[in-house]
Amino acid sequence: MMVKRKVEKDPTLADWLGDDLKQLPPHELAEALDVLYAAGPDQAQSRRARVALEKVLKQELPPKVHYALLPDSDLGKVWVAVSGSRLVGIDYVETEEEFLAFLQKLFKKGRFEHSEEKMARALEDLRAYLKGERQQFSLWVDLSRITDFQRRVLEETAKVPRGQVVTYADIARRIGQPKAVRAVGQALRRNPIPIVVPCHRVVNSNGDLGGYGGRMGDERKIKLLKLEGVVFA
Amino acid sequence: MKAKADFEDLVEAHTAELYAYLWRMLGNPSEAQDCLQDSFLRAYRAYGRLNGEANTRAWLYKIATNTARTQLKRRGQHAVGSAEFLENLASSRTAVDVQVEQRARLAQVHAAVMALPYKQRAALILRKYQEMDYAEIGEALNCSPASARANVYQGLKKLRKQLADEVSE
Repeated sequence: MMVKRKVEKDPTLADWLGDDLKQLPPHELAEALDVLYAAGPDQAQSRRARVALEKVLKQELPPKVHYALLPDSDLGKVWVAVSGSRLVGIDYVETEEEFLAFLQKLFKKGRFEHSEEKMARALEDLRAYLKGERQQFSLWVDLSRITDFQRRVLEETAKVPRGQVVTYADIARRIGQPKAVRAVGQALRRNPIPIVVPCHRVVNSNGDLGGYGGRMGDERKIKLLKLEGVVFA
Repeated sequence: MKAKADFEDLVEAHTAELYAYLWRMLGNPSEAQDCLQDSFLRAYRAYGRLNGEANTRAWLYKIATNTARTQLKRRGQHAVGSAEFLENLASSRTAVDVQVEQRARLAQVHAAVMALPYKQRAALILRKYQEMDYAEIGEALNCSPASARANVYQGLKKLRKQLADEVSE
């Protein structure tokens, strides 16, 4: 005679698993599992794990760099890049390929992504600055990817107040290397964050404009200085 | 084709649940923390090759599942005892008051869970405590949804039998 095995069913336990499995744990087992596992790690443990993870990822992953274009400023096309909430690069090149080449040179390893959305704040800062609507940038700059000498030059340059100009020789003197005038010029020419690190405020000792990056460089330098009330004839 | 999310966004979205999963699977906060890091580093290296249409959540769970298995092999399945897990549970939580008399039974259940075949344990935890459906569990455990379901079922059956045996002994 065939005896049909009776299948145990307990509707409350089916709810426990959110499932219609026929064999389910008895209440006691379900309860014990919930005590052991339901709440999971406490907040302090989770927070520690998250902080440690972020630290490791920051060390191990190539930095993420977002960039975008300010297409129609008074200076023409201005490309801007931000990494880790800091400005890392500005350039006047025509094409995206050229700007990527610039970033690659700066970062060696990096993950570059064109994103107007993630760059909204930096673009707005820059737009407003170039319109004369604001005089400060809300983002800090990151000058960690250049030589020590270059950094000293650019940090000194960053101290020159708006509306004033100094000479290459002044900067050389201020960093304690008065003879390094040409090297100062080189360092400024390679400034990865023009406009924000105001290399346009550094001019020749003879009153000449001195150089400025790129085609139309002089024109840009004059415009930037004019924005600050410095007029070059 | 939709654009792939930034890897950072994945980290942001899934860190908490993956840590909880590893914590449950390993029963040890600091090992779970190490495995979380390993998992995301492995994920980062593979992310470029991941199909843009893939379920990234299930994919991350798959990596975490494999990372935890490697960790368990390294330490030997039972090096972290149930007593330690319960100690941790009791000291870290105010919400769940683990009574002394309850502890022995909980330790039994925990040991029984740890003794389950890895896939069954993972399937049960994923289904019940990580709130995944069987399709996702299947992806995470590299099997069909039906097989994922069978693993949950078999795991529970085994737990139930083992604990019944222990009581009757």
